[in-house]
Amino acid sequence: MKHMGFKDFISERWQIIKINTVETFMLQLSSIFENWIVLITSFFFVIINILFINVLFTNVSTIATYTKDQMILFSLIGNLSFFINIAWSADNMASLIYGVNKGDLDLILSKPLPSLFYVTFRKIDIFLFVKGFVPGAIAYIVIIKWFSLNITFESCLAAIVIFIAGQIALNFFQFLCVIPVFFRGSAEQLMSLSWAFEYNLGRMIPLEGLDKFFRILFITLIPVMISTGLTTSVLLNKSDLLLSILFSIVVSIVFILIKILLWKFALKNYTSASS
Amino acid sequence: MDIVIFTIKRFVEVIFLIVFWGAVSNGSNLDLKTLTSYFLISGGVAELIMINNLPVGDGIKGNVRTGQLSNDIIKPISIFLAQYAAKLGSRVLIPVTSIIMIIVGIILIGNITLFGYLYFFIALIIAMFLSYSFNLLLGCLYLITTSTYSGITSIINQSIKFFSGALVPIYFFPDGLRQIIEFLPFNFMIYAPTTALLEKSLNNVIVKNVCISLVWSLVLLVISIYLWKKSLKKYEAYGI
Repeated sequence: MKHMGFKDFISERWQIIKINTVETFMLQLSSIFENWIVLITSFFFVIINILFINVLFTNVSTIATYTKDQMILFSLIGNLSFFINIAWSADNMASLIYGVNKGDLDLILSKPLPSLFYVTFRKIDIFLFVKGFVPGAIAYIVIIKWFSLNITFESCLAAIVIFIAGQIALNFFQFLCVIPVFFRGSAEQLMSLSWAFEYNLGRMIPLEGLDKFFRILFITLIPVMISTGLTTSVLLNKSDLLLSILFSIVVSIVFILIKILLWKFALKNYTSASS
Repeated sequence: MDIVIFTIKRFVEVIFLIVFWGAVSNGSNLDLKTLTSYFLISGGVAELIMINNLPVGDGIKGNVRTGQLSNDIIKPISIFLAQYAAKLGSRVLIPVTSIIMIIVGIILIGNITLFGYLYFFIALIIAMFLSYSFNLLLGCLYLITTSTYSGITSIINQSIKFFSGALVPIYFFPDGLRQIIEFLPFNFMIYAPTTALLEKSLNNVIVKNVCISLVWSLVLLVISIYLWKKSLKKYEAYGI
């Protein structure tokens, strides 16, 4: 493994992603009832969200400098972040908790695989993303008055980069919440705490709604606002594009490095659950 | 440790809701102190009556998934009440923190009459019955569908949150919609107990609200118990 060339390194990881994506897709196709439930619930959730924003804007004209259309856009990006996170990160982190407790991780560690990469991309549920996000997104896209938004080509590109970095950061935060499973055997409640941050903060409050200290806190130590608040802010040209891109890239690289170190540390302390 | 984290999670949710409303009220004529007390009390009420995330009904989903329900069915116990007791036990700190939240909310409001407390207590008991019925109905849904997808809980929970005033006070709604919501059972689970504290004396609106909520709680209780019994008979266990 140590003498693996860069080409082999990439090829091995690409194979893992490809196989896991296809397997997850096949598995998802088998549950027709669940698929319809996901589609209906996600769409209903979006309708409630739009209704919520409409109710708010019958009483106020702006929320943290955001107009109604900007808030709906923020909600759309929050939804996108949620489903992308579910599709590649959250489920895999929950599986890690299960794997540590049930001995499933032993099986992974015994294989000649890059274990951290494998547990990170064990399931890539593109189908869940499509059925969960797309119908609601259509509703958002139809409702938003796009001409009223200050979106440029540059801000779009910057937002995409920041969004990807934000997803890496969010995955790191969830990983951080899951790591205690190696030491105390459970992490479900910590994982659900991470959801509380993501759902109640990342998807509800625009970045501009917080004061400076909390803005920095929630894009660094508890990075739940990069893929939602910061992305929307940059997309709408409310934040400095270059500075935000640089910041996001640096933060995500730091998180990846810490994640690798934490994984090595956790494995050293890992006591197998199976015989 | 898990109980402490669960409690912190609940605090985090309420605090972020207040922060959100802080952002909403900033630059408008909305009073943040009133909104804070509203969300502290409504958050406390939601947890006390166990309507937030419908933990008991959702617990049935877990039992269906693991097959535990098949074991419980053959025991001489009430499955739903056993689930209720289990949830109460696993959330032992929640009533304490809920009461603290309500007390802080009451302090922020100040000047509450004895009648306000009495009405709050009555509204809270009615809300508990309504919450019991909703949890039971969710349990029925999981029994009938044997689905383990959390989205079912999520869709019901989201509707309850929105229409009960947990997310946005009902008085924020436009008149037409507000008048409809005031007749729905959701309204009597969180909004009615929370605003009951502000009432000074008995009036026609209170009598009307108590009557409507009593009718809802009775109707929903009867329907949910009937459906629960029906769904238990229809439940198809898997496994050996």
